[in-house]
Amino acid sequence: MHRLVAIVCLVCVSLLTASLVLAQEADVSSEQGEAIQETVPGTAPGEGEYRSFLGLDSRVIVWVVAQVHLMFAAFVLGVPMFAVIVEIIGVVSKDDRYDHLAHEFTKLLSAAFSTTAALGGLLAFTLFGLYPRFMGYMSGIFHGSMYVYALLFFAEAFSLYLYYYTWERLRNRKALHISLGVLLNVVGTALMFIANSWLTFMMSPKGVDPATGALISFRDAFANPLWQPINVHRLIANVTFGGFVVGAYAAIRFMNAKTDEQRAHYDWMGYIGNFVAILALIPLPFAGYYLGREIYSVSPVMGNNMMGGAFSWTFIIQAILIGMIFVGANYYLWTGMSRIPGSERYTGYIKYLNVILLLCFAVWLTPHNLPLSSEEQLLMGGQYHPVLKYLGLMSAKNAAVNFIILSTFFSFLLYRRANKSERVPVSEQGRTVKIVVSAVGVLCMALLGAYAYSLLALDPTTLDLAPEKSRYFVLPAVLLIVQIGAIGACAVLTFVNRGIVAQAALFGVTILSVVFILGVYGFVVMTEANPFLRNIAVCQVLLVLSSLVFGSAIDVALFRKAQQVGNIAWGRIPIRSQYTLVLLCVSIVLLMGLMGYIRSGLREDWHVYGVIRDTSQWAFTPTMAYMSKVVALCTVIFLGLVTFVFWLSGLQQKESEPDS
Amino acid sequence: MPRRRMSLFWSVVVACASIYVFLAFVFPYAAMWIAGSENALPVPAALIAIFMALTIVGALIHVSTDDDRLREFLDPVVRLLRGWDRSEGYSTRAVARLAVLTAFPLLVGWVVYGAAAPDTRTPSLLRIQHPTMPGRYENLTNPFADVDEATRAQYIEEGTTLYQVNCRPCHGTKADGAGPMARGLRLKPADFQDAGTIGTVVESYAFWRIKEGGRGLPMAASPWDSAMPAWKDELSDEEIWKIVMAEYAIAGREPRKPESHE
Ligand code: HEC
Repeated sequence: MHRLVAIVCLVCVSLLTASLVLAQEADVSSEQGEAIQETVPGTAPGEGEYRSFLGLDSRVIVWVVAQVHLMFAAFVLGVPMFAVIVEIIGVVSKDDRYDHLAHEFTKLLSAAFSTTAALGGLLAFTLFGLYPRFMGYMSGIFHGSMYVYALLFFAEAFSLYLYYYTWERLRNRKALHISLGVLLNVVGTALMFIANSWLTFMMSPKGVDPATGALISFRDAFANPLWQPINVHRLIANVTFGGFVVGAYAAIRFMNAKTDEQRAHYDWMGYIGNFVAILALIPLPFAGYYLGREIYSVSPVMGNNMMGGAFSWTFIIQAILIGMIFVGANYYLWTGMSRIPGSERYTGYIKYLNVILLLCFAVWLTPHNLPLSSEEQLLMGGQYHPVLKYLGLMSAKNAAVNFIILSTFFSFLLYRRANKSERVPVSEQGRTVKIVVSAVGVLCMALLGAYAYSLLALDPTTLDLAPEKSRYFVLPAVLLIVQIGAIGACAVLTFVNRGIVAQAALFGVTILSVVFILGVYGFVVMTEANPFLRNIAVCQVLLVLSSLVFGSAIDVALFRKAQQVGNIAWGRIPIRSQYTLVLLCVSIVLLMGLMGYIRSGLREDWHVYGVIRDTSQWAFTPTMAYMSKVVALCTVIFLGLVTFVFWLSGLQQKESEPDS
Repeated sequence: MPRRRMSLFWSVVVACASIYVFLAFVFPYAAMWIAGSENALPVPAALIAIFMALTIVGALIHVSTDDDRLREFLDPVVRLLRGWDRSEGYSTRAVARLAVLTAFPLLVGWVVYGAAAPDTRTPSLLRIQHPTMPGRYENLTNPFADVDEATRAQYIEEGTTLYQVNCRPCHGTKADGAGPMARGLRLKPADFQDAGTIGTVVESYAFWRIKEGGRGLPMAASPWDSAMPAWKDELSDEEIWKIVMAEYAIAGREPRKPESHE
C-alpha cells in the first residue's frame, strides 16, 4: 500500500513540475501572438460569432452553468482546507471526534468532486459552442495554461481520492496522510489561480494590444491587475462557503437523526462548520475592499458603475445578505447557549449585542441614494436627506462593519467561556503561556507601529494632496500608538491575573478608536483629504485585527485548564438553530451568485473589457428583477444538486451506520 | 403591592410602535433642527420600511433566543386563539378575541384595496445621480492639466466668469446649489460644495455632464427630472474645460483622480 501511495505522489509531483514547465513555455513571444491572431480572425464582428440552440438565451445558459460550476468548485476547494486543519487538530488534541469529522467532510468532497468536473466540462462545451469567436480568442491567448489546467485536474482528482481512500490505511502514519491533504490543497489552489486569470483577464486585460487584441506578453495577460485580488478574495470566500454548506448538511442530518448520539454528533458538526465559516467571513470584507479598490484603479468607469451606477443597488442586496449571515451566525451562537451549563451568567449580554448589531445594520443598509417620491424630494430639498445622507457614506459603513465584527467576536468569547468556572491564574501557569501571549502582543504592536510610522512619514503629494494636508495623518497614527500602549498594558494586566479587565479594556479602546473616533473623523477626511480615506480604512482594519488576535490570545491564557461547570450537552439545542444553519447556507449561496453576477456584469457589453465587444443580442445589462430570478435559479439548482449528491453518498453509509 | 410588569408580548408591540412613532413623527423635526431647515425633513418611506423590518427582526430574535422567553411571548397569542371559558360569560378576553378576528380580515382587505386603488401620489423612483458615463468620454483628459500656475490661474478666472454668467442662476454664486432659480426646481441643482457631488467623480465626468446636460443622462438617472441644460451648442469644449476647473475651484473640491497602477 505504501508503495502505491508513493507512486501516486510521484505522479502528482511530476504533473505539477510538468505544468510549471508548460507554464513557462506558454509565455509566448509576440510573433507567436500575432500568428495566433491570424488564425483566429479577429475582433471585428462577423458571422458565426454566436450560436444558440432551441432558441434559448445563450447568455443565461452560460451564466447558469458557470455559476453552478463555480459554486461546486468553491465547495470542493474550500472544504479540503478545513478538513486538513480539523485533522491536524484531531492529531494535536488526540480527540478522535475531529478525525471522524475530517473524514466525513472528505466524504462529502469526493461525492461533490465528479459533479464539479462534469459541470466544468459542460461549461467549456457551452462556451465553445455558443460563443465560438470569443472563445477562439481566449484559447488563442490562454491555450498554454488550459493544458496545464487540465493536467492539474488529474492531479487534483488523484490527490483527493488518495487523501480519502488512505484514511484508514495511514491511520498510524498521520504525518504522511496530512501531507497528502496539504498536497490536495496546493493543487486545488493552483487550479483555481489558473482559472482566475482567465476571468480577470476579461475584466482587466493586459499584455495585449488594445486595438487589435493581439497578444504581446502572456505573462502580463496571465498576471493581470485583478488576478491577485480575485485570488485572495476567492480563497477566503471558498472557506466560508464550504463551512456554511457543511453546516447546513449537519443541520439536516440533525433534524433527521434517530438517536441522541447522532444528534450530538451533527450538532457539533454544525457548530464547527459555522465556526469555520465565520472565522473566514471576518477578513472577507477587507479582501472585498481591496478588490473593489483595484477595480477602481483598472477603470474608474467600471468602479463608478459598481458603487454609484447601475450596480449600486446590487450592493444593497449584498449588504442585506451579509447582514443576514452575521445576524444568523450570532443567533445560532445565542440559541446554542442553552445547551451549555453555566451560560446563564452570560445570557444577559445577548440583548445588548442584539441591539448593537441591529443598529449597525440600520447604518449599513441605509442606501446613499434612495427611491423617493417627488414630494419627498421637494421637502428634503434634493436627492439626499440632509441628515440621513451621512449614514449612506463609506465612513459610516466602515465604522458599522467593524463594530459588527467586534460584536460577533464578543459573542464567540461569551460562548467560549459559558461553561468555564474556576480558572487557573495566569501567574501560576507555565512559562509557555506567557511567552505566547507576549509574542502575539509584540507581533501586533510591531504591525501597528509599522503602519503608524508609515502614516507619519507619508508624503501627502503621493496621494495628490497639498503638503499641509499631512496634518490629517496625525490622529490615526496617534490612535495606532494608543492601541500599542493598550496592548502593552493589557499584557501586564493579564500577567497579574486581571485578564478579564484587560480584555474589556482592549475592547473598549478599540471600539472607541475605530467606531467613534475614526468613524466620525472619516467624514472630516472625506471632505478635506479624500484620498487619505483609504488609509483610515486600513487603520480601522489593523486596530480591529490586533484587538481580535490579542484578545483571543488573552482568552486562551485565561481559560487554559479552567474547570467546567459541566459538559456541553451537544444535541440539546432548539430546532430553530438548525433552521438558522440552513438559512445561512442559502444566504451564502445567494450571495455568491449575486457577487458572481456583479463581477461579470461590470464588463457590460464587453467580452474582454475594452478589447472585444459583445455584439450579441444578449449583451444588455439585466434589470435587478431579471438578475434576481437567474441568481435564484442558480441557487435552487445548486442546492438541489448538492442535496442529491449528499443523499447518494449517504446511501453507502446506511449499511455501515453503527459507526456514525 | 409590586407593580405588575407588562407582558413580553405587549412590551414588544409597544417597543416596535414607539420606534415607528420616532421615525415617522419625531425624527423629522429633530432633523429639521439639526440641519437648520425650514420644514420638517421626513424619513423617506423606503427607509422607514427598511428600519421597521430590522426592528421586527430584532424583536423576533430577542424573543426566540431562549425557549422560556419564546413561550412567554407567545402565551397571550395562544390564549387569545384558544378562546374563553363559556362559564365565564362574555369576558373582556372574549370580546378582544372577537375584535381581533374581525379586524384581521378587514386589515388585509384594506391593504389590498390600498395597493390596487388608483392613487394620486407620485411614485417613488430611484434616481441614480452618477450613472455610468458614455465610453467616449471615459478617456478624455483635461487639455489644460499641465499648464503652469499663472496660466492655470488665468483659465480659472476665465472659467469663473463663464460660470457666473451661465451656471450661477441655478448652482449659485458659491457653487452651493442655491442660485436664485434653484427654489423653483424640484430636483435641486447639484451643490458642488457637498462631498457627494463633483468631488466623487473624475474631471471628464463633469465635462460630460456639462456638455450633455440632463437630456444626455441615461434612463436610470431619470433625465426627465433634471433641469440641467446641455451646453454643447452654447459653449466650446475649451470653455467647458475652463468651467470645470473653475467649478472645482469655487466649490473648494478636488476632482477624483483616475487611479493608476504601480
Ligand atoms: C436651469 C438650471 C441649471 C443651470 C443653468 C445649470 N445647471 Fe447644472 N444642474 C442643474 C440641476 C437641476 C442638476 C441636478 C440634476 C442632474 O444631475 O442632472 C445639475 C447638475 C449639474 C452637474 C452634475 C453634478 C453631479 O455631481 O452629478 C454638473 C457638473 C453641473 N450641473 C454643472 C453645471 C454647469 C457647469 C453649468 C453652467 C455652464 C450648469 N450646471 C448650469 C441645473 C442647472
